[in-house]
Amino acid sequence: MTVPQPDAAQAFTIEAFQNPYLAPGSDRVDAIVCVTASGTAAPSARPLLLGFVIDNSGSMHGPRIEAVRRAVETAIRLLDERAGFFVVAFNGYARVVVPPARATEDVKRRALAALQDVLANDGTAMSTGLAAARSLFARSPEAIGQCIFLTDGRNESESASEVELELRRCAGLFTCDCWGVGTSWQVGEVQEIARGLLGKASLIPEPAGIEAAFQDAVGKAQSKSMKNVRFRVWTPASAEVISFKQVSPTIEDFTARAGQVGPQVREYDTGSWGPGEARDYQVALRVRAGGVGDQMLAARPSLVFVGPDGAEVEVRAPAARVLASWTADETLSSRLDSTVAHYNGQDELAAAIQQGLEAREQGNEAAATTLLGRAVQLAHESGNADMTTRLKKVVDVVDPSAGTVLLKKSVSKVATMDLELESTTTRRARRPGGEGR
Amino acid sequence: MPGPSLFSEIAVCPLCGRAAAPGDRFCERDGTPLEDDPAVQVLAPAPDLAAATRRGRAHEVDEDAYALGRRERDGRPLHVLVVCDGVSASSHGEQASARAAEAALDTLLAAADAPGPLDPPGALRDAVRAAHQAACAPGIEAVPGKAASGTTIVAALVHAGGLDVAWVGDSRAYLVRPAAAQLLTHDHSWLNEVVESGELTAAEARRAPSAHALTRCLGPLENPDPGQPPEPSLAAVAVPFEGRLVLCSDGLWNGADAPEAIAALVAAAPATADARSLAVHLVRRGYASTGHDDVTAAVAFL
Repeated sequence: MTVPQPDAAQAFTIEAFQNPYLAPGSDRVDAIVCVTASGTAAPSARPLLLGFVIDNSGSMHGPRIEAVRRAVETAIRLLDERAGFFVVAFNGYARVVVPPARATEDVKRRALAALQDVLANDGTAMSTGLAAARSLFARSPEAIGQCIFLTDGRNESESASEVELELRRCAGLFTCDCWGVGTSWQVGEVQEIARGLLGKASLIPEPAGIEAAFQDAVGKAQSKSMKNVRFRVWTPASAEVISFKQVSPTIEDFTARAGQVGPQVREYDTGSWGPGEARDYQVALRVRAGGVGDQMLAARPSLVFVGPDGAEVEVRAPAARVLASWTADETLSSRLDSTVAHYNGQDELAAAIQQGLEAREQGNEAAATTLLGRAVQLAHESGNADMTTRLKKVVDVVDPSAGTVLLKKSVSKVATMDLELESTTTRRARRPGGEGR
Repeated sequence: MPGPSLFSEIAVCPLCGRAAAPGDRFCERDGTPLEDDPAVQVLAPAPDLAAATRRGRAHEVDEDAYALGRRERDGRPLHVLVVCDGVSASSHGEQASARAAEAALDTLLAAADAPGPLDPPGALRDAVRAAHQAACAPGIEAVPGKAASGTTIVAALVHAGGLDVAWVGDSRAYLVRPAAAQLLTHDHSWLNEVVESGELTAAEARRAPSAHALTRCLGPLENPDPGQPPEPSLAAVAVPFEGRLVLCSDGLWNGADAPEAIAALVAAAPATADARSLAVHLVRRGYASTGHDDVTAAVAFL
């Protein structure tokens, strides 16, 4: 039973952007829904449980495992005593190096001693590390579970299906950001783990960078105040959801992860949120086609979470509706909403980069030049300066507005891996008539 | 499902009867607007008299027309209701229907305002004559490839002694009483002719492509001579009666042919509904069930 709570109902602001006008007979409705968590959320009644899941396979030997020890030391020093943490190390199998405990000075000290005993050897079976973390997170269902996963190599000691199966078991228990050190790891493998657990995969070129990455991760983890926040979509009985994607800060396709709550209600787990956090979602619907003058509420977005007192809270915004209104006026129905258009462009940008890098990998230089040129053009048009910077490490830009580029003769592996990993990081849409966010 | 309460702000969908979410104005099942549907044109001169129309999906303009009038006579309310449906294959059917409805209304109100006893059948014949004249008057542009202009008409006069109806074509009048409903009119249609002559069974005729063809209408399509109106059919019901009088175009009865079906649509409206919301309800239900043709309903509470 959903019980509306006056203060919890302010936990999020929800806005919908779309062109509601459709030509007669049209049945496709596109909208962007922007969600912002309240910046002044009450201090969370939920404790943080931070799990470090560290690869200690043979390739981590030497400077890498030493850098990890330093990074974990720095990270746990930042944790306040209300938070809990644990450390799991995995190679061909997983061990709990530091069992879950509150981050007291004493526990931190003992944890550092235990880390000294972690040796780097043997192969890599990532699912074992995740499975160990899962069993530890499962003991604290009230906590906000955040995981920091670090590897440096291929998942060579098990089949891909092991990870896939384990990710399904972990889903909903904790979220996980992933890092790969160096360039010997597989982007797809690490990305699969991050995606499956609603996190992000990133590259750390040199071991020295691990410390800063973990510091950032702890700051982000400690900012979370709500967990298992679900994006709920009500649609008319006659409508279907074609796709549901997160489009900011990164593009993640959630379509296949829909939970069917009722015949007309679907939910998508969005993980943990912190105060002031903003994310945008893209909803595409197929509705029963209307005639001129017909109107329809095509979707009603809302956010649902379990409040500190255990009651489910649904945050609705009466103004955040996705509407369909059929008109014979083509100047109305042919208009593309600027926010919808912006994310269509960011979607195309990500696809152009991924396909461009693949073409380059396969030696198809003509296709790579065209696709990466288009990417440069789209990044330029949308003001995605970070992406332009990353693209410039792979291509020489001749004319950004025309998308004219030349492939660089020699490109570092770090640059291509980083570009591939960050290709889905979008620039947030400007609000119509307002400032960019 | 609990009925709507004066103390509740929860609206109920006129189409499916579902309660909307609190404070919302869309149906929880279909997402359709609960009220103020911008596509429905409504006229409601009194709580017990209203008409509504909505253009069909297949049409660029609504070719239906309605006209309503209300008078006090002999200490009781007198209602005039007219519904006309312009023939789609004819030139500017929407102009023929609008002219016919207005002319019929004017004639019936003039009769109601005249001193002396009221002659309802005579007034209705005069109204049909005036409607034909108006539809034949110059000014309706011929559309290449289309026949001369034509329209149906159904007109009702509700007076102290009963109610009288006249019609030409397939626009209908239903009397929905608390106990039973009846169809007062009998379409001037190819379907009725072949069934009555025994040529085809009703089921066979309904499947035929010309099932909807009219055998009589108003305007130059029927007879370009304004002085030669078609013969209307007449029906009358004497007092006492209570219930709802519903005049409609085929856009409504195509999806609810039998009197019981129309009665069911009326019964599905909220019990507290006035004539305005009943007319809107009928039109929206008619549109939802078929939708390709224009839908018009004129309603009087008896």
